[in-house]
Amino acid sequence: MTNLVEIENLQVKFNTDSGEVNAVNGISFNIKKGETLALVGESGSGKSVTARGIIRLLAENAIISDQTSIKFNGTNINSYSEKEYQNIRGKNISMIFQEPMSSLNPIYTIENQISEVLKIHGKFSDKELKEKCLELLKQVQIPEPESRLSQYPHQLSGGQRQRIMIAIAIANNPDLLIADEPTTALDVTVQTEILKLLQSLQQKYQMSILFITHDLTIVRQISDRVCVMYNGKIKETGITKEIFENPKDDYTKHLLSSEPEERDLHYDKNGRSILSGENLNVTFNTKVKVSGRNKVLSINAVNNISLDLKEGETLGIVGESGSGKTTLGQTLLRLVDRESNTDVEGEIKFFDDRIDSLSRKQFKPFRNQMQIVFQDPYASLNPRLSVKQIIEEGLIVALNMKDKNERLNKIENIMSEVGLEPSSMLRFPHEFSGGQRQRIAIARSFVLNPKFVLLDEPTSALDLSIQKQILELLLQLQKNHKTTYIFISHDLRVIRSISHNLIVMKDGSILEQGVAKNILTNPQNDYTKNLIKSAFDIIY
Amino acid sequence: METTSNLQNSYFSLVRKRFLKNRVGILGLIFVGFLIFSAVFADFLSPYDPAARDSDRVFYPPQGIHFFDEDNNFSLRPFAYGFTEGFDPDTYLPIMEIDYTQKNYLYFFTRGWEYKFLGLNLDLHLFTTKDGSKVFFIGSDAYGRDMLSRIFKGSRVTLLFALIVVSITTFIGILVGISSGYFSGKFDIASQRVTELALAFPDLPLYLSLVAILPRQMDPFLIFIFMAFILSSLRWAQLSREVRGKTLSLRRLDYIKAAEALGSNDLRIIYRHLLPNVTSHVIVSVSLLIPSVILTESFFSFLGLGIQSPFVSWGLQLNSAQDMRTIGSYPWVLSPVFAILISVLGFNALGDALRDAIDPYATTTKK
Repeated sequence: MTNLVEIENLQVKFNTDSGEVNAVNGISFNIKKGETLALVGESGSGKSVTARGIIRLLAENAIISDQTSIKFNGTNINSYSEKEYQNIRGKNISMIFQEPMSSLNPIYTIENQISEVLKIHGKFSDKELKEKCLELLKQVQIPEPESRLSQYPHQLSGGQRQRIMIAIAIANNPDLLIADEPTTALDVTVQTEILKLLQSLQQKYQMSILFITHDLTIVRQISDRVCVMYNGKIKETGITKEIFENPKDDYTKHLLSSEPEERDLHYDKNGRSILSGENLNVTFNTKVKVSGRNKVLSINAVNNISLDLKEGETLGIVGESGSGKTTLGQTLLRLVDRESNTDVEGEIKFFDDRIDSLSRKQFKPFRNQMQIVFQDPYASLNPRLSVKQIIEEGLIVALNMKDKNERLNKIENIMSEVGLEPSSMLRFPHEFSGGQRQRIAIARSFVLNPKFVLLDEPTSALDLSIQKQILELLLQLQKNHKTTYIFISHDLRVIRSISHNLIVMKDGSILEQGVAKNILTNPQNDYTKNLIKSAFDIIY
Repeated sequence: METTSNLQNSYFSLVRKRFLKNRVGILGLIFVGFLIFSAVFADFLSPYDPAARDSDRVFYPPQGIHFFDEDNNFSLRPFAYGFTEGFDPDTYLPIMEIDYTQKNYLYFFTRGWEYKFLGLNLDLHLFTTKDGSKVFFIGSDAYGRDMLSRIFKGSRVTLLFALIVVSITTFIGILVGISSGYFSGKFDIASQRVTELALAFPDLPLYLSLVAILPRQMDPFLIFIFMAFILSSLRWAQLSREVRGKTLSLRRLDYIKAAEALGSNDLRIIYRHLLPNVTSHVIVSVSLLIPSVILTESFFSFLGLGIQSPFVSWGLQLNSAQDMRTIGSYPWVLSPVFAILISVLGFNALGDALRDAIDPYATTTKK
């Protein structure tokens, strides 16, 4: 096979307020014709910058070194002007982005957006354009393609929008398609469909795909060859199968070993019941205008769910976005019913106390025993408070601890326990990495020594290797403090490695409930089967 | 344990760095700093008592400083020539002629008229003249008062007035904005309608009519305070809108929910978590609000409806420049215009630069 793209010594620097930052440090690789090359790495490894460097879609403050040489189809495109790049973009090289919600323009119809890229690079009559758009929509397998033409992006789901993006990308039969984490924002079953679509389109058009991802499962599923990137450098390149079976580089080994593994987990099945919910129903009522009249639209986010947790248990809740898993969790912690347009019904018990009808003030004594850790460690820490102030808050408001030294002592202890340097307590959140921030958030909850903690996707925003560390920390904390967890996640691999029992949710209802191992090895429900297949299967 | 990767600069040092790259902003900061300095040390900087009248030197023109006299004799102590009043033999209009025999010498860091500063009786001045001689750098007004001293004194009143208006405005704006955004629901709907009313109100007619019902013979200090309240009556609305928007987006963040999960009450969430996060936004609004208050105040005082003597404000000084004849014969009475211009430009430049600096998504580096 001949090389479509030859990159030699690619160096990209960013000129920032705090000086120059190296993003890509002289990397070289080739993309062969018709192959799928995966660029895999953790956040900040420079994989997106590399891809964008090829078609010069970098931020204004980026500097590409003079020693860089990028050859496309044998011609050196490194010295091309912006105008010449415009001719290549969308025609020879096209790109799909991560966020389907923001990569389509909300004020244009689907037809407008697809025909735009056709009109830029060729001359078509209106009728031809329409035919071409329709054909492209059929190719990306969108249901009812005829009616989609006049629709707007907000009328489509995330997966459908990503299909539109793909249709735009392949409109001019490009030689190279750059896919920058195209499935990260999608649910796992939708992700599988999109990957299948990309594979079939690739075979049809004989195009090369440069696939950027942090997800090793996807790398295994889709790529022929893989480049492992770390810190702006390529650590290892090779045939995907060979690298996964026999990694040579230390970093690759470390990365592969970071994938959450199955564990033998035990808890006392005859223990005391700590938290139970019976016939829980949560309804969101929103006012909408239907033909000029105000109507109340009710969405049943949690539909008649009952659950029971024993002390020391970890209950995994898995489901795709919109399945109501977060709402269910926050209902148990009495964190959703504040908005006036939400109805919560059902009985919640914490040990022997009924907590569902308590007022906010009456519920306060329970706060220190029931805690929550959020998904995004960037949004869950107040940027204007120091780490000490963040961890201290619970001690002041929930435990009413007046003695300064006692508080300090507690903060120091919990910081060392979660793996943070106690001497860094006067720093502010932005000085810490994502993983460290999540440790701060965990410390904020655990300093109160809670009996129960709701973990709402605590590892989803983190890199694989950090994810493993956080999971291990959570298991260690559970052992030390005999804490009970609910672990919400969309990632079955993570769930498998931490939870004893499992609930599979879809559209607010429980589809399957039981021992995690049993469900994962022997799913009964079709939806669960599909979910498990998408998450664990490598070749289909 | 992970290493502390990407140890960035703190937010404020980043803001400072971005700010210092903005030359116009620095210029604005210098202007504003100078204004505040001159307002605080107005008495020390003024060579003469701003209220002292001098019937011998009415509409005295600006005098230049000299080190050499007409015969090219050097004098280390700078001096200015006085004027004698004469008549144009053709038109009989009074003209001021330089009187080379009258040398008014300047003395630096010397004693002059007495003033009170922080409860102390002082009489030290940056410079003044001795033995009844006088130097007016930018001329004198219709009562023979030193324009320069009055501009310094006026900066104090003008800035103090702006400060009071902005404080009231900011307090109400933040209070309404944060509570409206945080509590939402019915309170939000009600307070937003009031805010809209305030925004829709024609401001100048309202101010004018409110000023008109203030009794003329009232104590000038009370008028000063009432004026501040009148000018604050509508201005809080814009700020409260902005703060509300910011609060609406902040309260959906997880750290607010986390605080709630820890058992924090509403008051604590507001002052501990919301307020610090809207401050940077408020600082910018304030620095852009000050010039508009200065302009409105000088407009009212110019009409004679605003600040009353014995207070001195720039607008009030311009009050005497209302007829064409005065401006034509004595153009230096317009000099407070430059003081207003500098302060408005200064605060605007400062506010713009601050706004650019606090926005983390703005790109300051261009190719």
